[in-house]
Amino acid sequence: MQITKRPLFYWILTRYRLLQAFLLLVIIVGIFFKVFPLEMQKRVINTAIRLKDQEALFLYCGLYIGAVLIASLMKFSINVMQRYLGQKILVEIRRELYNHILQLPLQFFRTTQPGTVINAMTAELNAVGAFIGGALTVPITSVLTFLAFAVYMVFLDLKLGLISLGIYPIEIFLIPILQKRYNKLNKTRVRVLRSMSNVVNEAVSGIHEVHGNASYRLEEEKIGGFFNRIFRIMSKLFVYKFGIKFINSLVQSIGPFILFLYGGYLAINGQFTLGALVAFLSAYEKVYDPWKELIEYYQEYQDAKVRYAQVMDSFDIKPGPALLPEGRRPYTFSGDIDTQGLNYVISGGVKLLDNISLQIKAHEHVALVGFSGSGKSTLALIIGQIYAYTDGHALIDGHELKDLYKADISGSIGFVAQHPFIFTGTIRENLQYSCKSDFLNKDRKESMLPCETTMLEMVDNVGFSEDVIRFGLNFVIPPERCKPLVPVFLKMRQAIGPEKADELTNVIESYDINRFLRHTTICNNIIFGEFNSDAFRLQNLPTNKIFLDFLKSEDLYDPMITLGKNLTIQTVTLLKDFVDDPFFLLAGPITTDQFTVYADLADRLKTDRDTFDQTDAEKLLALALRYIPARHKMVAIPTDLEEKILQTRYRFMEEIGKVSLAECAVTAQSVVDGDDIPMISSDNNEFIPYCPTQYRFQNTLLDNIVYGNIKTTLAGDTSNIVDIVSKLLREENLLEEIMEIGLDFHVGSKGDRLSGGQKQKLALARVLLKDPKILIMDEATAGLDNASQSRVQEMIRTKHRGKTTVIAVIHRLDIAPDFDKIIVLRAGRIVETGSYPELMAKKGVFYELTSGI
Amino acid sequence: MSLPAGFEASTGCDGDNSSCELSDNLDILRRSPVFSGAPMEVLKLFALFAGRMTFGKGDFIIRQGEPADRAFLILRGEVAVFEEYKNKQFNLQALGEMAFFGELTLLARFNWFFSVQARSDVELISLNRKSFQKVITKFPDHQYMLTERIVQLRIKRLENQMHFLLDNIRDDVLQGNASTSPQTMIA
Repeated sequence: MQITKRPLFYWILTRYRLLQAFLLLVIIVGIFFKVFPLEMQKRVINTAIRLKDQEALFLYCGLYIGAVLIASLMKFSINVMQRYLGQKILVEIRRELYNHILQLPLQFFRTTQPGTVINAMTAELNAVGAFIGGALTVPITSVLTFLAFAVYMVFLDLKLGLISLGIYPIEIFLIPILQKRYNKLNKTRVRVLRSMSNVVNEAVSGIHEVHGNASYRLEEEKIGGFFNRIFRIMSKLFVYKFGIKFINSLVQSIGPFILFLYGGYLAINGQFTLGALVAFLSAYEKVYDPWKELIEYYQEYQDAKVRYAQVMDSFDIKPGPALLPEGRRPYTFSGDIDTQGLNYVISGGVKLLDNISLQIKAHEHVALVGFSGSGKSTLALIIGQIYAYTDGHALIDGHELKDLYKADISGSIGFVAQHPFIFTGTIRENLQYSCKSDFLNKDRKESMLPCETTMLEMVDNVGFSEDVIRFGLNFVIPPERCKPLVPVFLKMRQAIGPEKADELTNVIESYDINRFLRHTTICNNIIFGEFNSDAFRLQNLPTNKIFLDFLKSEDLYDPMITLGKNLTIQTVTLLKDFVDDPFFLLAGPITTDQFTVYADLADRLKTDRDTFDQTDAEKLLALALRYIPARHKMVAIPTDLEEKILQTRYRFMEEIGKVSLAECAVTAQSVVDGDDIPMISSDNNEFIPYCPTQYRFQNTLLDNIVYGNIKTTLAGDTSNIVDIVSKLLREENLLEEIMEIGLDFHVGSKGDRLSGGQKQKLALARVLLKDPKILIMDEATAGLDNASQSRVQEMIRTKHRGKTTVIAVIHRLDIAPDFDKIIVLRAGRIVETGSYPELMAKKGVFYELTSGI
Repeated sequence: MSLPAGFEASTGCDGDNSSCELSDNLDILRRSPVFSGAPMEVLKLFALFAGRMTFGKGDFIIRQGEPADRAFLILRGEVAVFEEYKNKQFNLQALGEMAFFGELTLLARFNWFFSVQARSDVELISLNRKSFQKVITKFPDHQYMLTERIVQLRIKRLENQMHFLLDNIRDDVLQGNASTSPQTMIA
């Protein structure tokens, strides 16, 4: 039975029956322990107290407390078991429902918003889960408990018992009326919540439009209406819910009233013992509990029933083809495709495809062309079994497409959409998606996916290698992953060592400890390394006492201040009219937010260069430290100052960095010589010097391989470096490692860190990795640049000739000659079929299309 | 290394004997025919954003077909300019010190229609379109003048190249056959 047709109790009656039976047993035993204390109460009063029998008192009290304790313990375990049971069954409901939903036909998802589905799968089923656990056990036990106490009461006194119990039928009449109103409101509540969910979903999906139009007020209005409606509905719901409880407790209170009145009267007249009265009272109160539970059960049942029904009704559609065929293994096809009189009619009687008859032999490469709206994409989707044709025949290897199962299709047919969906995750995960699905469908037992070995090759085939290499090089690899690979990377650093360095000197300035570096800050020139602690970050250095003392002892403080003064004056003079454009400020060491401060300082310095206070001095020093000689052209650094800084560097590294210079020099030399690089130890664990053995984990792989600064011009880019480094790595056979790292690049939510072209290449590689016999491409190369598109075409033409049937919906007709056959569609019909030369010679519709573009 | 109070070097560096790259670039730009008429404040900014590049003998500075994004001025060395057409290489020109090429990139986007290769070790100053456009929008009065200079330079060079080609073309092609339709000539 389809899941959506099952009633709520189906789940309760067919799952975990043993556990439910056990639960029932425990509850029944528990009932005894609930009634028992009552009897003990009576005996305590009537026997022990009256007869002044202390031993009996102790006995009965002991039994009383014992029974109460056991009863409580049992109640606790019953509660836990009920919830546990409920959740277990809920898991099954969710799993089967999700499975069902995923197989629903595409048309369903066109008319249903994701918010509805999400709500249904998550929040709405929660209430059902809470109910299910006790669905059978609670009513049975409540009724039994109720009966047990009722019988006991009648046993004590027939008339009194009957009167007390006579109250309950009133409730049985009143409460369902209220409950019906509650149910109706509840249904409305679910509907409103779903709509609200959809509004939220839309706003989030279209957030760029929201930001672009600054439509915050408009969206607030949209959702505000829903908030109000929910508020009103919930308010009413509470009134009904507690109204029912109120009636219940009101009726309850009448009971003891009758009891005191009539029972007291009987007791005064000696027809009723005091003990019995007490016991009767207790029993009366005890009867209230199961009754209350029954009422609550009734409410919860109604609630759950309504929610369950609404959830199931939303998805009560016949699903598409099931996954696995029964009684046979999935077919494998050779790729013959045949349609006869195929029609696809949508609502309103519109014929998107009209009487399509075509034959495609296995391994033929066919192009589908036509004006927009001609139905070429629809036909591709139908052949891929994503849409279902209305009538006519479509045969794959002679089998009717309508009767084939998903497992038959998935292994043999690969579909590449025009706007492919990229899942949140890594490139690797996305690449494996098709191949892994097929693997799981076929229940294979091998430990490794078949496409693991061919992944890199396929990436290369679709022209995605360069991107993947780039991702790999720009990756900051986490230390755990990185540590075993560090020797390989250091080897790469050597690979682009001295001989190759010539090619790179134009673009890289390496970290050479014996040279003054012009493409990095003065700060880096002095410190020549990185600190773990914040105290030595550039912005904190002007106030770092250790550093300041060091500068002064090296006679470097004053020259730096002078440098700072020159930088301030020259930069401010040059750029003061351009502060509003950050592009201009890039040419200088002053940032936008600091500019006014330095402008002020510059004014003061112009009048008197020697008057400045401590804070000014800090600013001047900061500027001097930020100065990059090659970039900040407005000031030159004198050669003797360069020399001085170099000497200071050595002393800094030894005194404060506590690194042996000799070791560092040795390692630098071994890089040059191509020897094994020894590890450097630093006594100061805070400091990592720019010596070649160190792998800097906070930097990208590219930074670590290149180990230097990139000589960018101001508006330059680094793609040149990547090309050069890739070439060098290829020569050393190290590219594969980089690509493996690149595959772990996280593409962002729905792949938003990838460009359109990259997504298409990824989607294409994904499908090709499962090696389909029939490849369907719906304008799959439309987003690629010319070079990539030609490359992919070439690849398909050569590698899949004689191996794969290809059906490509194409928009650019200049690739049409590559195909064996061209099918031209117009307004849902086939108007021309033939090879490129044939159709061009014919000078018909196809010819028109080519000349039109 | 301190300047007398109130002194500001006209080239914008500190007054020590060493000049800074900014002032060096400025001097060079002033001597170039394209930029010589521009006011100091504009030139200073160009000088600020101009970059230095070095190439070895045989290196390609520009490759035909790649997107063009910067103009070049030769500081020292020699380069050869050639175009590849129907799989044949045509040498168009040789350029030396103070020659300015790629000037049109400052005005428009296109792909290089010629290649430039270093014939010796070469040092260049380059200015890219983005920087040029950013600076020039701040000085709209001078925009026309600079554009005119650039176009004039291009025309002069075009003239030279045309003369060179025409000198070497066969006469019959030049006179044009009566049967040849105008279309195939211009293509």
